[in-house]
Amino acid sequence: MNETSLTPRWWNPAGRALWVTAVALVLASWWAAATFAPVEAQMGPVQKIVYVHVPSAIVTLIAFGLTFAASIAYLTTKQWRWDAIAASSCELGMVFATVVLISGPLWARSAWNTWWTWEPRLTSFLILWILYAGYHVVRSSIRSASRRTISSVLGIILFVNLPIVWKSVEWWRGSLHPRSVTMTGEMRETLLLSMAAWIVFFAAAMVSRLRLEWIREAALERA
Amino acid sequence: MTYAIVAYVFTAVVWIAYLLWLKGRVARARGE
Repeated sequence: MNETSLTPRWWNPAGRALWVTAVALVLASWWAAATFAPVEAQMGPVQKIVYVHVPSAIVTLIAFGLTFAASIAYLTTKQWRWDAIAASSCELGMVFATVVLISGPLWARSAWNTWWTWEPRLTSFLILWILYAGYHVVRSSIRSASRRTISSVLGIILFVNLPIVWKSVEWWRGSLHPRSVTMTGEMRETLLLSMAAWIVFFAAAMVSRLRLEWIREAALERA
Repeated sequence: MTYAIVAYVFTAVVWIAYLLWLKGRVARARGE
């Protein structure tokens, strides 16, 4: 049993095609952010952080949402592939969440004159990051056969945080994040391009991260 | 403008660091 016997024939070509598309789209979105999107009137050039901050936040929620769905699928079917998808998606969600937590304060320093404030969206997102980091700590600390089941249960429980982050600006007062933002013209087009770019990037990274799970599973089956 | 550039550079650094770490783990898992 080797890794190639666990992966479909189209896996590697699809991965390469996704990576080429993802890198091209991300570079195109950065070029659009720098040259195509206009400078926002009130905040100035620092507002261009939106084109990496917002897509990363959205993909974080998509990734953790996928962890939730795959965790349910694992508990239902007990097929290791679902657990592999849940763990891989959760790890990538952490990287996207880290990008959000770095780019956010850089924007806040200019827009709100502070690096950090304990307002609802920032606080709930930080709690989200810490709790999903806990998922990886727990998962890596379990060596027994129950690892996948415990990880899946956690992947389902932690999903409760996602609607809290999403709705935090409506549920609590004192939010500095706007409830909704309407963008038009080149700004909207650049944001949509950035969203598409980072979603494809996530898909490409998932293919690469899943390969690690196939290799580990093949090693387990050999043992 | 400086903060925006720093944010984009940090984003690139975070992803490059992660992908290199992932590449290393794949190589170790293969026993290379």
